[in-house]
Amino acid sequence: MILFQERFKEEVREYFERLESGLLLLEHEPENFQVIDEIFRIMHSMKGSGGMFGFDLLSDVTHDLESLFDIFRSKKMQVNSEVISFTLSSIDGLQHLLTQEPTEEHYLLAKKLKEEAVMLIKKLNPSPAEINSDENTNERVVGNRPLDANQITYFIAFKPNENIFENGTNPLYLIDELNALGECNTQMSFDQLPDLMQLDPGKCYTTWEIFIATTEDIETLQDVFIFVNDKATIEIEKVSTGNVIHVEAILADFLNTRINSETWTPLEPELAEDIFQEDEKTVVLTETKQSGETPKTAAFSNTTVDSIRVDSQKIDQYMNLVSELITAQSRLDMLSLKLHNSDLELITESIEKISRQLRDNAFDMSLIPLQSIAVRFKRLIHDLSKTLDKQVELATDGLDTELDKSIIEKLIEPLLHIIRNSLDHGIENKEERAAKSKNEVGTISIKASTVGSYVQIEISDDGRGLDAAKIRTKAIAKGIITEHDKLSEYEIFNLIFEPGFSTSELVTDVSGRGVGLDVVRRKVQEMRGSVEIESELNLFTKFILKLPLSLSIIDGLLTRVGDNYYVIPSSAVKKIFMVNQQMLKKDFRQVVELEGNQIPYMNMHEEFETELDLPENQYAVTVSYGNQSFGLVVDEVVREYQAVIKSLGKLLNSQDIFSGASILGNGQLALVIDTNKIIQKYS
Amino acid sequence: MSKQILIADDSESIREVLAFSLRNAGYEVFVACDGEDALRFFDGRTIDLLLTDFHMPNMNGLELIRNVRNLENYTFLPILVLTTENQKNIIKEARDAGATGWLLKPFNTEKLIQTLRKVIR
Repeated sequence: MILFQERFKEEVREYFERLESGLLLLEHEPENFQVIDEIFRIMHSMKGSGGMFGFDLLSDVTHDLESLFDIFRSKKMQVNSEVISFTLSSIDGLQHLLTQEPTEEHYLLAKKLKEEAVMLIKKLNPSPAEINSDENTNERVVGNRPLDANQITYFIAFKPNENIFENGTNPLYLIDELNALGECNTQMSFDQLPDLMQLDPGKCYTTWEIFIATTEDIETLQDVFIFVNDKATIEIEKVSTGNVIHVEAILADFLNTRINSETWTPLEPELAEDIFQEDEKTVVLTETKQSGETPKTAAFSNTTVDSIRVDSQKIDQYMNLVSELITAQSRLDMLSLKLHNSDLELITESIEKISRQLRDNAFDMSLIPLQSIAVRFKRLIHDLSKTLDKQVELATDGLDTELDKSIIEKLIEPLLHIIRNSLDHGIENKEERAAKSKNEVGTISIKASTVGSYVQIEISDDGRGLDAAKIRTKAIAKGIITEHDKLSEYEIFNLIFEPGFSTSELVTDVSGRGVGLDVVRRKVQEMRGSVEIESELNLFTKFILKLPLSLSIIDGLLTRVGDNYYVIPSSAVKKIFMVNQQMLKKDFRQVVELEGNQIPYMNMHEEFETELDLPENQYAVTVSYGNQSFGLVVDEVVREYQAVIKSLGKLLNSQDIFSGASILGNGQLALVIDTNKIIQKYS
Repeated sequence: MSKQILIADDSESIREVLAFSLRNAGYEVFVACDGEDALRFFDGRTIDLLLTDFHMPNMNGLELIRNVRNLENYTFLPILVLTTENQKNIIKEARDAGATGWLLKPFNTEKLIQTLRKVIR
């Protein structure tokens, strides 16, 4: 059951997301009944399943939310933004209630949510009688189940309608069930059976008369026929206390009374039986439901069993194994080259092909579309625009762009941070926008696309833009730069990523909680990505994030320095030049002139190699650093190399210029350079 | 041969619990995530019982039941509706559409099997 509970929790989280996106959609299209219906259905599912898996509070609260949406579903009222905001905040509350061991706090929360929901329902629907009015508050009438083993004999007349088979009922099963409940004396009657020519095999002509001696109460007997109540005539009468099945006289007596339409008085009646009040066993809750057909298509988010859910850890494991396989395969490659055995070469080739396909496949599996986190953006914008009293629209493009799952996870926070900033600092309030003759409704747009081996995400707002002069003054005041520093506009913009920089003069509730954009940059760089900024005063601010598709496999340039190998990520590489020692000026500026540009460089041989002499000819690999170039000088550029990155482990955690290591085919280690870090450190 | 039961429910956890309980009880189980999906299973398989949710996307339980009843070989198929409603009009609608009976959530395995035995052996 625990397993199912976990599944259920996952499912509920999915429900929450669908609810959120649905609610946000409703904000714009309050008359979208498909969405209302879907919300209703989700609430309903949570209510039903919540109880099954032991999340009673969840079930309890969703019950009221379901009632709330029933109002809109039955078109009595239109959804308004109060309802949407309320439901959104209830969903937040529900997330806390997703617990099986509720504490006092949980109960209070549930109570509060329920009260609020009921208040809202009352407000919207002044005739409270409409909602749950027929909820049966009477205690269920409990049958007088004899506590001792004393049996009671009942008579049951069971006359199915002719068409009973049409509902898939097999009356024999019901007789069987009675037999399981006690000792039976069953008589079948074929009185109604027509001539063979008129007989329709699809119809039922049989009726039954049964005496049963049982310890079960009459409700249980009625329960046997619960599905056929409307398809058959069922009469149950008490014949006698005790088992009189074998007392022919009593049975005959009883039947005679019936034939003469007289009232049979049960023998030795002990208890007043007023238990015929209900003919159905459970009365859980009932609601006024407008039953009409629900639309055929859901407006958003289709569920399908074409996909299966796999624990993300398993995917990670799979990726890991595939990377081991690729390492092993490249060793096999080396060996096969050495041995010159044509048979071996054939096998090697096919293994190479398969492992390449396997790698692509594994890679593909761990990719998920950005869309999967889009609802978080929408929610943030919805909530914040309310808080800040700004009208903001979100425009998205290319959210089907896929990224590695682990990157997406790490990306959420920086993206939300940027959006929060845009809303708070970027987009102006209505008055200000009107004064600038801008559209009162601001726009934040998120655009994603795949560019080569990385994904580019642009988040822009049409707000007030960055004021270079203001940033400069501020940076000087904060001591980040000095008055003498000459910086380009681009460099000035990038100052806002510096730790301790915050452009807002007021610390607002929204952003500026001491966590600045420097965190965004750090997080993005941790993923071997980059973030840049473009802006025009009073027009726009645009953040451009570039991220690798995957964290575990990268395209790189395999280079050699002395006896050691280093991998430079291809995404950073601009050009490769052959250089000699004369070109590598070692004056105080340490620059190399390439294609007429002076480029700062670092000679890796000098930094990392201690034993071997500096070769005469070396290679300068220029890599981009922000919008500048930087040269990494190596002894040799070996080849392009698809590096499966392994972490360096605990002991080497303290260094930060290498993001990992890759094992070459010959078993040698190649360190993967984090170009941003190495440049920061050595330039 | 064990009886083959088809479950149609848009909630994965419900599907799993049902499938688990029913498989343990010795039935063969198929699962579908909505009415449309469920309908596909009637092609080329022998289904002995349909257990369907009431509210589902794409094709709800009611439509599914009507569709199944119109299939050539399934006029007499036992069909149970899975629902939290026990209000009569919901059940009545399902019955009118051709459902054999209903199973109310929440249920436990015992209740499930007990209900099942009313319509299938």
